[in-house]
Amino acid sequence: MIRYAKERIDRDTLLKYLDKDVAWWFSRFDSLTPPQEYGILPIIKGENVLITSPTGSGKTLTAFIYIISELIKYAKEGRLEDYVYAVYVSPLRSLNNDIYKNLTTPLNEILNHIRDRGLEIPEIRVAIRTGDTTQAERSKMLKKPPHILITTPESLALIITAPKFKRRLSKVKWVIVDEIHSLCENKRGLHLSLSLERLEELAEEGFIRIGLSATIHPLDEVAKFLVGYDDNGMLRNCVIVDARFYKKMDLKLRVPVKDLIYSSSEETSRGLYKYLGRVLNKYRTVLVFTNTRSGAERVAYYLKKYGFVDADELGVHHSSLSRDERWSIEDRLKKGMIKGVVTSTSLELGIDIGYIDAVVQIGSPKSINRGLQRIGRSGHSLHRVSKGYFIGMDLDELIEDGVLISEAYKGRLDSISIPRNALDVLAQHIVGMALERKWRVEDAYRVVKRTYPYHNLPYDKFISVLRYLSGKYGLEDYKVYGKIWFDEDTMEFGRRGKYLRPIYFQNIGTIPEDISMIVYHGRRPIGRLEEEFVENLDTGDIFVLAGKTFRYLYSRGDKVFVEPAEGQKPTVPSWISELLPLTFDLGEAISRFRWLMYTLLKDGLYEDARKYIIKEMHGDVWVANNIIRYIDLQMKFLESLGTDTFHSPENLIIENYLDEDYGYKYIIFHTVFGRRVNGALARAFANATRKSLGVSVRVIIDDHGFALQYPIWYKLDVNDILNLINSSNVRDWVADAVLNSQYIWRIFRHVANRAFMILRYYKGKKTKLWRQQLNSENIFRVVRNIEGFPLVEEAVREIIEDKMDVNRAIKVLKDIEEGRRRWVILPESRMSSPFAQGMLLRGMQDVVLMEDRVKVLQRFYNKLMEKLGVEYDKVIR
Amino acid sequence: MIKLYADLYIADPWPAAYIEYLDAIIIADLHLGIEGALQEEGLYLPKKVSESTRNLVYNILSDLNPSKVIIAGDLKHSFGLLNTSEWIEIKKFVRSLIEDYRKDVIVIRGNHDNYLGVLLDRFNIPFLERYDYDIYTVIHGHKEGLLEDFNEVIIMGHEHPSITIRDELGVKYKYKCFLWGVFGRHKILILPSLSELATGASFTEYEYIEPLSPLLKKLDLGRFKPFPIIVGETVQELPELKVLRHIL
Repeated sequence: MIRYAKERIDRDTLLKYLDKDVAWWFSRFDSLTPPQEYGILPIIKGENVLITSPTGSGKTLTAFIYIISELIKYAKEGRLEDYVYAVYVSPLRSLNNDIYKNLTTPLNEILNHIRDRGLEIPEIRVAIRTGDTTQAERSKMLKKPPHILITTPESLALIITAPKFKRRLSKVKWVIVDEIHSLCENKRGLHLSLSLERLEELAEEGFIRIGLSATIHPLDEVAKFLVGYDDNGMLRNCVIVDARFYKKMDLKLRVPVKDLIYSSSEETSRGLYKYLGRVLNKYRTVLVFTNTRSGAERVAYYLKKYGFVDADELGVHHSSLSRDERWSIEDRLKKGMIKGVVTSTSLELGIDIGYIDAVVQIGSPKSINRGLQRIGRSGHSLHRVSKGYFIGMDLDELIEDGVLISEAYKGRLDSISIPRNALDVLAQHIVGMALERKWRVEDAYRVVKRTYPYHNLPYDKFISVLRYLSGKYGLEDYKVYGKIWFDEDTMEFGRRGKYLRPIYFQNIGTIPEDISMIVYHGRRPIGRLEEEFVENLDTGDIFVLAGKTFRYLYSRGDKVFVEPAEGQKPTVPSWISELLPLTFDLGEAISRFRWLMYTLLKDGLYEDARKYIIKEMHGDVWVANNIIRYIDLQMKFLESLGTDTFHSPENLIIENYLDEDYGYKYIIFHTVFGRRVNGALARAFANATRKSLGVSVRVIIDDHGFALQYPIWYKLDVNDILNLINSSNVRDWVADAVLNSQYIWRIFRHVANRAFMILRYYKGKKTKLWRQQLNSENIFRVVRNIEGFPLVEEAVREIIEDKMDVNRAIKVLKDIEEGRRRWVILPESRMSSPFAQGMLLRGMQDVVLMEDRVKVLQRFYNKLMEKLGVEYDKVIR
Repeated sequence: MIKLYADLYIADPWPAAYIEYLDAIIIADLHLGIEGALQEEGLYLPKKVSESTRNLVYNILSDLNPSKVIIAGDLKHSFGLLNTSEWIEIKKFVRSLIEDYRKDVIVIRGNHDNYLGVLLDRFNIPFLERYDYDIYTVIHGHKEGLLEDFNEVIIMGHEHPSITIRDELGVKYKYKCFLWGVFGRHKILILPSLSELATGASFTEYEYIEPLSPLLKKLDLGRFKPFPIIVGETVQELPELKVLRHIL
């Protein structure tokens, strides 16, 4: 049963539960933080607990104080043995070092305090075990195991498989999973959930689970992910401690210029840097988030160039920088030696980065949770206010930011989605289990089904993975290197082959290793590009690398050949794969906001609309006027087509736009569901249109909708297209589209890596990645037609359920079928609507430069005013 | 059958050439046992890759029923000694050609074909560096040489050529292809690979390609005419690469 913590304790009550020397140490705190008030008692009572609160609210101590107290008690009573009692798992290695310090310092102080009283007790050992741990340290750990083990999900999976060390885990009583929010939505988390159940098999008396999470929603789901089910299929108990909104926020929404349409890109960026400079100079330390790495570089460059901030006082931090560079920035941040850091996503999570006064978000973080996570980096200690500035650089972003702010103040969050039944991760764990001992299939299946993500795993899928690993599907020739044996008569399996253990130990993990390719001009190397990016390039494409433009020629293996293309327009944006998708919940909130604005504006209540934006979205007059004008023009546009309704969660408007200049027809679906859902819908519609109606269409996929584009001479009826897709066939259409796309080659390779079909390391050597790359298309071609092959199924599942969100697409279609939403089809128009304009511009594959985009947009608005017969300046009365 | 020159044909819809007077098909780059070799590098593929390559050859034989089979190199994949799986597979294959299908078989040595001699000897199969007949020379194509060293028509493998074609929406499709080119007195036919796993370089971007075969390095690749193939279905004749470049 999952329940919320109700019983609150105060500091003095807590002290009574603790060993008296631990109580002495803890009494230095005057009071308890909210997570401590509610979270420690369940741990004392031996219940599983999920604690969610912003960083800096004393979560770690909540988790550990009682454990420390118990271990000190054991030590005093002579019951402390050479076993691991507590395991702490965190996805971030850097966090491990912090935790180590935060544990050893109090432990030493307590120990010294005890010794000062003339008492001699054994030391409580704490150790970190990660991929960096040396062989010598590991053997030391085997002889003298730590009582508290700090580790990562990957190392945990190794430890529970290590024949000698796993005996030291038989007395584990507590497992702490930190940063759950960054685990439960990906395969790393699935991997961990299986490790925990395997650990459960080793721990003789079972353990309690303590989950720590930043702001996340819905908590029930996360709790289930943490605790899983028991052998009878009943959810294990969990107490949820919800201290999510304890921290006060002070958020502001701003625009860099008075008018986002009729300002040149020069004016807009000047406005941005001027404003940034003001914020930076107002505080001691400011963190600036952009959405891309190149964006971070650019912002830092101009801030320095314009002299808004001293070059020495500004740093850049993103994942493409070397580890040393990042550490140096983190270090200067912690020491307060730096005024501002511009970052993309790398400083979003975890590590304590010290004293931050305010956070600036340029553009939209695309998710409420991420927005809050970023803002929460400021005012790090609990009692301080988180200060955040959101700056919208275009109208859609401005609305995204504003809606995000109002949702955040209302305490609304995005719902997470936990991936289910990933067969590649399962295959990896079955290999690990086979290494441990011989298994009866039903026992192994029972262990796997105890996890939340695999609770509904069909038995035949489980068997298909066993078959794959045992070399069925024609994979193992002459039993050369069979991974497991699987006897379908006795229904047992176990390990096979002497190479299995090294294969497992070298290839464990779920994070795909993408290939970085070296870019050459002739023989001269000029930089690196990710394989994913190169895959999208065609001969002749122009792209930006290290601030210069190059023409792509061709690639061979891990080499990319280019020639300089100075002064030419890039045809490919360099950030294409980096942009995060808008979340479904934020999208729905945007639709509600659009409708709300419509209800006000159609009655002429401009002042009310303005007030709403200023009050609920924390904008100013500039913000309000930009947003109102945008929505008002959209409304007038729809009116001009004879439509008397507006965009809302229920009304999904479809535009019928004829671009006579270029000879294209666009069917534009205004579905603000984010690219994960829109990607699934768009590909299903496009695939079905091609195969059923015989018309090849191009798709444009955006967070705010999607569009089908086809040559003007095809006469298609929108209703005919709509009738092709419904909630029961959409999955098949998307899956079919995915199977025939180039994208799956790469994802399949990742899946094959995880499932040990393509090894990253073999016989102690790193296998050549370029070889994997060279063959990824051919490899896929060879396996794609094997009936029921679990790895192909998994690659398709990963794309349509994790990368896209086909399940939500199904729900949306069901809503339409059952009347909760409806398509509203507009009559054909020779102009697109203002809302569609941004979408189309963003979706253009031959991407237009920023300056040109501004011009295109201004031309569009000129035309729009003419069509509507209104004066731009008078739109807002 | 698509006639190329004299009595030389592309055996449409198969990845093979056919010489009429000799009643021989010429195929190249089978790379049998590639799974075993890749397994040694930690890549586990279904063994049906080689199986389907063998089946492809059997299908060609059943369809055309020639009296001779000339393999223009790279019958096997691994560079080293034959491992067990390769040995068994190749033996099975060769035996089948000789005993079941009753064909004359000639194997030209490819760069992958080391240590093959012993096995081929057992079946009395000639294992040659080149095979000359009338106006033809069949080679694998991995060695240095001049066009003048050979007969008028050179038939070779080694390149695994393919071309990429985009549809109207910009989606890329890659096809294996034959390449046929006339260079002065000499004509060259490059065969597509039989192995599913090796599509090789795309000659659509011929200006940027460094051909594998030393023989081709000095030639103007744009003058090759591609014949893309969908195995078992069709072979399509296209204009010279040079011309194609402007169309695509």
